[in-house]
Amino acid sequence: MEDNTPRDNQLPGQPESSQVLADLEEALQDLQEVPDDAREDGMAVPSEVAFTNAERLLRAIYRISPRRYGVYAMSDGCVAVDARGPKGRIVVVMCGSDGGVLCLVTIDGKHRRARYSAAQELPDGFIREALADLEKVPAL
Amino acid sequence: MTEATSSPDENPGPLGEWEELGRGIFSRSHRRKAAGTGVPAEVFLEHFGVSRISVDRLSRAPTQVAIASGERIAAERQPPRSFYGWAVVTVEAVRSVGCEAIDSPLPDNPYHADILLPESVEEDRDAQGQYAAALAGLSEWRPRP
Repeated sequence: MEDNTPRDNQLPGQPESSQVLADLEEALQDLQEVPDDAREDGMAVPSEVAFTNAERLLRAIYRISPRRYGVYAMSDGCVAVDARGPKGRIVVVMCGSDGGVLCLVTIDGKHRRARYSAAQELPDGFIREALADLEKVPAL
Repeated sequence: MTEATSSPDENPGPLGEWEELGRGIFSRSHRRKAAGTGVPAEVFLEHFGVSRISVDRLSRAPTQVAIASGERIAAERQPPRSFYGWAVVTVEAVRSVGCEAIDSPLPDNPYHADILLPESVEEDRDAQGQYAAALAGLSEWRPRP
């Protein structure tokens, strides 16, 4: 029988560390495929700074909210990192080729977003709150 | 998919709230992502300033007609692409994030519809991305039969 008892270093509801690492490795593998995917789709290949920011942010938000993130190229040279919640909730962090970052959040039909000219200080409170809200139970 | 009941040349009429709308997927990587971590926001991102997102009415269109529409669009792309399936979203879901959906039949596709983004996106690329992400979050991957 499968043992679902949380380990000493595992919070209830969090995936086991081996699964977390597998999810991270898969997302990082997706990131490696972004340039080839962009070329195949005739899109601008993200710049080195976009790629570097995406990798750093992916690792950082993993530490905040371990899950399987989606990673893909956008047509305007961005690398997108997205997280999904129930009922269509979504957080997308887009790392631009100019070094800027755009965070788009839609939770229960309500939109909010933040744009940053640089990624050094990220993830900030806005992104942390968005990730937390993905799983939050709506108030009755 | 809800089985269509109208014939291909019949006007399917106004959109129903529970109708499924299909956004064609013509990229191998989009198909891979859609089937794995979810439909990419890029699927619903149009060119800057474009506030209409073209879709097909999958609840109304006979399956072979919907497939033919996807294949026709794929063949018209430069360079030609393959048609893999759809990102499917309901009319109700579209409206839940502040967009609108309207029927917009074409001479060669009576089951064509458009998702309309608010006019504000015409000069706001970030807002355009916001709606693309929201629609992607609400949509589900459906491979072509």
